[in-house]
Amino acid sequence: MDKVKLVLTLISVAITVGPIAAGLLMYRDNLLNLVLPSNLQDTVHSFTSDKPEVKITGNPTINRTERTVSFQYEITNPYGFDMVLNELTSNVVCANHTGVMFGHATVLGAPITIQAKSTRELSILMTYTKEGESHVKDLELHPPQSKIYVYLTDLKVNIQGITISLEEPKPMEIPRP
Amino acid sequence: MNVKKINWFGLAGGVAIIVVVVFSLGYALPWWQLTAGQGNTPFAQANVSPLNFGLSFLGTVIAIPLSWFLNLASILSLVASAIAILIYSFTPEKNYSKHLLGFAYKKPLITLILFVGSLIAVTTLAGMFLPFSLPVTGSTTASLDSEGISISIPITTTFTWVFWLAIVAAALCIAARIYHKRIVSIPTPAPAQAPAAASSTT
Repeated sequence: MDKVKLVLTLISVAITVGPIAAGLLMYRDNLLNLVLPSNLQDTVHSFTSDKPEVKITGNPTINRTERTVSFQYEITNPYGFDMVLNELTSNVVCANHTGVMFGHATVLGAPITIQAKSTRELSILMTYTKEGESHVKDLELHPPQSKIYVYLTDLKVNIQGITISLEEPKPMEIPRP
Repeated sequence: MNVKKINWFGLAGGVAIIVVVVFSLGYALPWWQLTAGQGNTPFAQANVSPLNFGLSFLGTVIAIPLSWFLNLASILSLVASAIAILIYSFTPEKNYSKHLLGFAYKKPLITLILFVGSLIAVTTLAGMFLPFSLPVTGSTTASLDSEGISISIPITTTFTWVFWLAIVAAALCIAARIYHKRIVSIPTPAPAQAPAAASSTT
């Protein structure tokens, strides 16, 4: 019966040490490749080099009764998987006059799925506050011929459950309400 | 076959190991899962078990060759353990049975201990190098700040039912070892006398 014990011990050693020894033997020329995934660098590189592209399309649409401005964008998903935009929100403040809140911006129809390697249109709606509307209509502060510039502050984008917040205000031009 | 001489714990343990292997390999069910982000394609996902290792980053599968060899060792170990303990369970009194039991009963437990130990080690090490701690089980939010952009990534880690079944399998195998002493102490009934032999004595 010692033979059975010996055989079982040999099997034990073979099944535990064998595969690891085989791995070491196969990768003996470059043991680092045994531990480091070969495609990790490519994946990280493609993630950092390919970024979603956002383009503004057409002119903003103004709805004076509802005090809203709608912006049309085209977003391109460069990745090989569907991207889900769960949320996009921002405060809109006057770029020329500190502390004046124009309104809030949000993406319409969220959650929005942008198919892998494709482009999709999305609308961002900015709603003026009463204070913002009267501020913009004040011709002394914003003469009729001048352009109105705003900052998007507290910009939050939630994609795939990941929330990205931009601390730096993003400037943009908006039409008069 | 004497039903009283079957080691039912061993039998159940062997079947449980086979179920664990089938679900871990056939259905690629992990024992432990880490998900960073949400949705069908999360930012990153790790499906980990001693039999199968899957790591995906933005939908791209990342293969670590070492994990394949370690998984192979675990698969062979658990399959050999299941076969040995099943053979033993039906023939616990054979001369070789005790060796079969000794060979089989510890393997699921060792696999479990190594798995949980590695998991604790990896999550602890990750916590040392990353700016957030990684729980063995639970949820956390990883917050990263860089160049005016702050990113919050929800991370969830959890043990799956296959892990708990693996614990049950390991416990049954240990119970089989304990029950073995009782089985060998049960007296084997004497074989019935042949009618011819009985009539010749009269």
